[in-house]
Amino acid sequence: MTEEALINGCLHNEPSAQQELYLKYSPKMLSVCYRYAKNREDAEDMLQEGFIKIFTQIHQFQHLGALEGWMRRIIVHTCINHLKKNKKFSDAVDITDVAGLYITDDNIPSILHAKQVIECIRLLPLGYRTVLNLYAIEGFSHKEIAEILDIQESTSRSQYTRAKALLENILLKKNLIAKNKNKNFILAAH
Amino acid sequence: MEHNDFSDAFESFLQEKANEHKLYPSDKVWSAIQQKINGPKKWPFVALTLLFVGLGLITSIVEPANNQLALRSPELVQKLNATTFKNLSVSQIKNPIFLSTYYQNKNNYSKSNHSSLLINNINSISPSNEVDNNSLALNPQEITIQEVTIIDTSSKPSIDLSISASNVVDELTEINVENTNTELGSTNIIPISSFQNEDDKTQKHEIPEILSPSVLKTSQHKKNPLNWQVYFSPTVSYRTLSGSGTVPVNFIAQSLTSGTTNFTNVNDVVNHKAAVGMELGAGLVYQLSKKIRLKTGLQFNYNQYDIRAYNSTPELAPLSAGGIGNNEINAISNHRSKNGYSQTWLKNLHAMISVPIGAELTILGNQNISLNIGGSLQPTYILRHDAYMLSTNLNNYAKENSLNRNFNINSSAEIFLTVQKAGLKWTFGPQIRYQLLSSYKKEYPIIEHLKDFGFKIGLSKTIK
Repeated sequence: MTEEALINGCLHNEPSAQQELYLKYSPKMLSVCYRYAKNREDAEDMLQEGFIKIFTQIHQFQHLGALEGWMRRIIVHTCINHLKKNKKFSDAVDITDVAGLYITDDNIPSILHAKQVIECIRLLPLGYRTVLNLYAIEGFSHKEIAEILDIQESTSRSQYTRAKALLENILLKKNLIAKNKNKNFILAAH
Repeated sequence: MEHNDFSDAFESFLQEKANEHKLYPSDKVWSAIQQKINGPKKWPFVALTLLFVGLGLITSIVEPANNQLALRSPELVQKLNATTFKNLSVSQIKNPIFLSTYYQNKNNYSKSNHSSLLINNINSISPSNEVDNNSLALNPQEITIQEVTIIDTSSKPSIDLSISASNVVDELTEINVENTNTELGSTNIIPISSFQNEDDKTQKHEIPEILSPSVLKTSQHKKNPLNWQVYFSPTVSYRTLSGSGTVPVNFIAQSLTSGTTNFTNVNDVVNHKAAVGMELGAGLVYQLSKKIRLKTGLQFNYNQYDIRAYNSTPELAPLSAGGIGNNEINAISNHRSKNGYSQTWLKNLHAMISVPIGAELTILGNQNISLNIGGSLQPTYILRHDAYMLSTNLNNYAKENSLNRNFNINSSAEIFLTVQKAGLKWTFGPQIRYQLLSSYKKEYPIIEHLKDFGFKIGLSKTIK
């Protein structure tokens, strides 16, 4: 079924089209949720909520961009709302000092590559992780992030800076990145 | 080795890896989405409807043929209408009709011994029908004779035809009646002759000597051996765990350096408590003999228990024998079995549907009250498996659906009291259900057997 046919099917509330759309995109979308969620269970709750929104609001899809991008935005906003609703984010985002956070080798999962990187991101405190996800991966600006998270733009910037530094530390320890001769960081491809 | 400038490439690196990453959601997510957008699944209702329709069909199919009315043929009815009994009047005809015969000896009917003639649905006979002839045309293949009652309401004897469904005739197999007037010329025609009373006042009615070998064979009325049954049982659910966790070398080393404790015996780690579940079912019971019954049906089980755990920061939990780093199954866990920052109880639940196949044996009692034992094997499909698994290093609790077993076999044993009242059988008694196979697949080294203790309350009735 083409994407157009899938959208039409979903517009007509056809279960087969809805299921195909779900099967096609749910693995990527769950990965998005997983980066924001506290655990896999929460991620699945977010995914569920997000897909219900997608199916009920698909008539609002304007065909201006890719369907995946539109779905992804809905999923990301669902994740943020979920965190806000459960008061997990508001507590976590106040954490600005992570000097005490000590990452040991044992905490770093030894799972291959993409999953390894995702797991490293997930080791960050929730506030840092959220800002990092929104800025570095979803491509939101700090201004947009400030609006989404109801925080100051400067807070978003500082959170991101710290998140990046912390992640760099983790990736270095995991040998996913390395320093070159000029003491610049390089990415180690596997 | 790919070389990129970190500051420029950091976001793209993260984006690339994030896009590569995929996670496959559990089936329950789609089920929940579908339920939200298209309403709840209808299959449980369909299944229940099918069950009850099936029970209804079985009820109608197994209705004993010998309880059915005999004279359906218009010809026979016509003949019957044209027939009169000399000196007899039909006082009442209802459906089914039992003609009770009373005789004292071979020739005289009395109340002491009786045979019965069951004629169902003879709607064409009215109470005022007078019978001229001594012959009554009946088709022995279509008639069940159970009881013929002759009562004397006036100077002439009359036949009381009343509903007497509870009467069961044990002995009568043949009635030989004389055909004195009408020759219908067929072995299928059963003549009943001369129910003439020679002594009205004594209320003893003589039947003439049997002159004709015409035989009316009767079938003995048997109680339907099938019963339907519904039952409910509140249960208390427990589990037994066996096996030992696999503690890889690096974990032992880690525990030595970190000071955390690693356990090898699963029961040293686990602290769980029972919770209330339930069992609900419907089925059929077949009376194989006086004391033995076979049963089957459809049963829904709901089982739950709680595990004590401790909240922790996210940790990787190995869930297969190989442990972390051996390309085995791992999960992220926020719960430790020991030494977390706060205690919590994790809810574990299972919903399952099964087809019990079993037997019951009456060990004491009579028809009205009896003590029974029963047992069954129950092929089971797990509808919902929402439970935390202990990691194989015994440090964490996590969920991993891929290790759950979808099909299982339960066994059950019960002892119960049956009380029959107003045609209904009530059953009460304790029961135990035990899951024969582990809840988890072989890849998971810890073996869990669920067990439920309950008190069953059931209701059954003979299918008519």
